[in-house]
Amino acid sequence: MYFWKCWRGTRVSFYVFLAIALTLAVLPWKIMDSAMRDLGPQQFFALAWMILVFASSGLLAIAGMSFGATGISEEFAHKTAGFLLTKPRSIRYFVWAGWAANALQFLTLTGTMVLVGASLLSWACHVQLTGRLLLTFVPGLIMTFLLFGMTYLLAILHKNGRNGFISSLGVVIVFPMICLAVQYFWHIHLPSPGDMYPVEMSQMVRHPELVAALPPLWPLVGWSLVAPACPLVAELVLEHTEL
Amino acid sequence: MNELAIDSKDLTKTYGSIRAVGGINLTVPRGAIYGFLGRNGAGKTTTIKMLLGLARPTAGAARVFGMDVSAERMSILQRTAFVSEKKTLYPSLTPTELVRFSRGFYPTWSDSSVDKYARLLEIPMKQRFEKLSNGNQTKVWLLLALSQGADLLILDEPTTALDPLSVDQLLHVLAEDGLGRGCTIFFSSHQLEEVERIAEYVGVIERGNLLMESRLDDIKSEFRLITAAGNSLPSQTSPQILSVAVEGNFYRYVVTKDAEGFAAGLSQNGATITNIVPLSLREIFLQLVRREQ
Repeated sequence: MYFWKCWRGTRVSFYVFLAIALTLAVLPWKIMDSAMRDLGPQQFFALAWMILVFASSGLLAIAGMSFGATGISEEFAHKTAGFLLTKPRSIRYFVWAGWAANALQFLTLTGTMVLVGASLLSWACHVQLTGRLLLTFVPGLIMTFLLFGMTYLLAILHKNGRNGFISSLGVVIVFPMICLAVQYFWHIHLPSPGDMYPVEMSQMVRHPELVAALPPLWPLVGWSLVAPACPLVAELVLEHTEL
Repeated sequence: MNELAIDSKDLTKTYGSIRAVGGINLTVPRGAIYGFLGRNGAGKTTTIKMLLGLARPTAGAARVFGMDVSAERMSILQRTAFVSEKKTLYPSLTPTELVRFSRGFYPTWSDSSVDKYARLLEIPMKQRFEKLSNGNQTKVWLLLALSQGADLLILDEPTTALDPLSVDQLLHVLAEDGLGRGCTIFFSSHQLEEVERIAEYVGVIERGNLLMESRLDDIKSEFRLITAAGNSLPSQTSPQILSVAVEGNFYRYVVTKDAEGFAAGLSQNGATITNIVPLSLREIFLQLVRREQ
């Protein structure tokens, strides 16, 4: 029921994101096909794959934050919480139903981008898709879950989706700066979601073949545990919230 | 079986230094229509929120159908329908979609009631909620609450924004259909005529204190306005004397019980009783609130 209502509320955004996802999935090989005919198929594939991975990560991050700003936090902003929270269901049900409805949408976006984009590239470059290659999407996916969860939590703390989105954006901008500052001045490496990526983007641009490098395991595991912790905290916060 | 639908003991809610509800003891019998009267900010909505588990009592306890509102909230909500003071719902959904959304939460949901009340209240079921008039938005809330098949209806200012005809229809529905199937109706209002028309029990709350709770018939049969002429008559309030107004030699007493006995006492003190008249609920309410102030 609440799952349906959340889907009903975000379905227009989902269709827009889906259209963008399909466009981005097709664009890498379309653009590169005309611009880089002189490249060998392997190099062409590596570059196109890199573009696909980054485009999907970027789109999913925006989608994650956008979907995170919906759900139960909007019930407070729109003053419908009194209606919803007098339904005979627990806070846990509402938090996780909203979370699941949105998570399913950007999983669908990921799946669409990866399947369409990777299949097209594989077909165009005659390169066989391997599990190792597909693993390159995992950091982006976990990052999306993180941003989604963080926005979801912040939106609930603010009891307002838009404010949650703005706060989340602030964290996305400020946190890497803090990490860099701490690293620069005190030589301390703060754990950051960026650790999930095997190589830096600048390196990857110079050496596209690194695109298939395996993402490091422990940052992946760590941050994939942090991602569901956000809605869990949101649930605890809501349990103690009064109208 | 517990004979009370709602039963609270010293129910208190404070927000910082503000005492919104100050230890009230409500007793709402099963199957009754209970009018919960009070001015804006008197504590009606806070009390309702505590009964529904939307706010936690600072002290005291409340039970609905014998179940503790803090510990057995889900069981209570399964049997309770609620119409909020703020009649906002999902703006992009139509009443039909709101019905679809609400239906799944309640095993006792009745689609035939939806059809019946949609027709009776003339609700445009295919129009988005945000496009509905204020009156129709209120009617959608009522439709959802009435179709739920609940044992207890908690209505916070249910007639807000309704036109007189719709108010009439609603009161008729509440009195006939609600009571017909043994439903308890607890509704807050400042529309005293509406309460007087259908309520069997009345509670008056002011500044978080329950000033009075009784059967409406008992209140109306007990409370009297006595006009007496004389000198040096009692001019202080007491449990029996709710208010005294003195104009020259004329004393106007509002008494809460035993008006005949009180008038006889005045006569013995040399007063001439010029009038003993019953009071409307509005007059009683105003007297109670003024005394509290």
